[in-house]
Amino acid sequence: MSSARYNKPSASNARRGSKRITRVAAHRREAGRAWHRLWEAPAATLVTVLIIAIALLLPSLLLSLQHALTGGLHELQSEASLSVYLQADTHPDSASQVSERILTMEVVAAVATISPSEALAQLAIDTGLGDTLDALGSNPLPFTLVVQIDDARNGNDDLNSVAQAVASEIRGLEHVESVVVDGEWLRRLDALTNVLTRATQLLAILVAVGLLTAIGNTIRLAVEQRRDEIRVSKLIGASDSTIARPFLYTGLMLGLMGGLLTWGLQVLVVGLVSLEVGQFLALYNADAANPAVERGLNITQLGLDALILGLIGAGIGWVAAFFSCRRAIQACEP
Amino acid sequence: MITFDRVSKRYPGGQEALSNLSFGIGQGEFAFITGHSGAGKSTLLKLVLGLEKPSGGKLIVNGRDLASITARELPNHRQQIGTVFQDHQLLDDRNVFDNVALPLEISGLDPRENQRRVRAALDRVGLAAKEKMRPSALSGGEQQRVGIARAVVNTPRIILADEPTGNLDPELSAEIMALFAQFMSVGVSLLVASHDRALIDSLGYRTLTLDQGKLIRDSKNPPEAGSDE
Repeated sequence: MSSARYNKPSASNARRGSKRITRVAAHRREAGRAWHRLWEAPAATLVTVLIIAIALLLPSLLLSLQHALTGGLHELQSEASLSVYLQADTHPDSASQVSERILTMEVVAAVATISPSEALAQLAIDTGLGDTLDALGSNPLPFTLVVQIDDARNGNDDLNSVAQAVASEIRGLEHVESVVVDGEWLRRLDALTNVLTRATQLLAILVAVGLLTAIGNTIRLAVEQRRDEIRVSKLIGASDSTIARPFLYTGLMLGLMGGLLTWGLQVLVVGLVSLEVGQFLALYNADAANPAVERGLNITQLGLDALILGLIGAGIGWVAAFFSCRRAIQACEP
Repeated sequence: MITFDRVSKRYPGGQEALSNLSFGIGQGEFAFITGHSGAGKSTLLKLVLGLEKPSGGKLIVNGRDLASITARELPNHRQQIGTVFQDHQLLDDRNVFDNVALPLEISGLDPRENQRRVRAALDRVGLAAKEKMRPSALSGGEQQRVGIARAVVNTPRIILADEPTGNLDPELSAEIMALFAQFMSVGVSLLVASHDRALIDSLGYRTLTLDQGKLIRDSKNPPEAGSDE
């Protein structure tokens, strides 16, 4: 390999006095050459970069959508609460006993008691059916206890399962008619997010395979174009790895530029869409700041995203170049 | 420098390109390989360069047994041999200087730091003034001289040439041979394949004649009475 060659003392006397190129300088030269070659055919290069960027954009956008959703979900789920309905004829004293009993449970932060009359008044306001409700004569509503789950004491456990556990414990208490865990829809949305995650992962794999093929093909064509040079270089004693180096840099640079362009497009798209996402989350009473907007405005996060996308692109480009050019170079036998 | 010991080369399909070849080329020796086309001249040079492996016998070049050389060692082996091709094999997307500098680059030398060596090689072949030109802008003889400059820039101890004067008129051919003779005088071994009998005879160097893969005459070791020739 090249490292062995660089270190091996040359047999020839005349070579001994000659200045050897350092590995860093050699790599810089190959990289410079690769960069130069890329812009010998600017249109083809730009098209390739655009293809890479658009292909990467789809899973990347899905990923940030999923991040935004899980971020929003987390905000909502941290307010998990239970509605405990007591039996219709429960005495107010019994109600406060149940309330105190629940309050002793470890994960319960607060219990609010809504008396039947309060509930009826609220219902009248909410529905505008005050007159109709008055006509009922007696109040059919039971005592309601709203139990707030303590998020801090919950630790890493899934809030939902904690809520379910508390609910079944409360169901065993005297005077309790039924317990409803609020936010059933949250769990459905959560499941949907999981589906989204799976889809994103699958899509990312497909895109990676597609990009490997596309970049690999570009590199193979580049090798074909330099057949003569490769043949002559081999005759003169260039090793396959020496010949491959500029092509590896080409793949790396194409991928890197594609990745960075993906980032640029993503910032654009997220910026345009984030307002709508904010409105969407506001519909579900998420008073927390819109995670997408937060992400978009965070400079550190922006830089990190660019770095990650650039690295992913560069990695895919390098791997594609590695496999395709090795075969193509071997095929150029002198 | 080069030792053929009962070397044969058989291609898949049974065709025997070289059979039972034995001869040696010493340091500073100039030898022609001649014979009709298809006699095995090119195959012989390919064996020395490691482009083909012998199917039998022992071939030692530069102290290396080419039957056992690994693919990884081959580049290093080739770097120690200067090769001149009939069709020059110059790269037209770079100028004369960069063409000549290619072997230095490949063996890990810095062409910028070694400009002196490139210029010396170009000076040797009389093309110092044309280093900025593209090879295609040069005449056939000049292109071949660029090829020679490229072959010697790494100061190899062996130079191989495959029909180096194939496309040149007699006057230019003599010029090229005179260049080769200069390298011989500094201890380089040269193995030149050519079918130009007139040129070979006029120079009087050692001549190996091949016919259908067999060495039928070696002017250094004339066949003894009673043998085939």
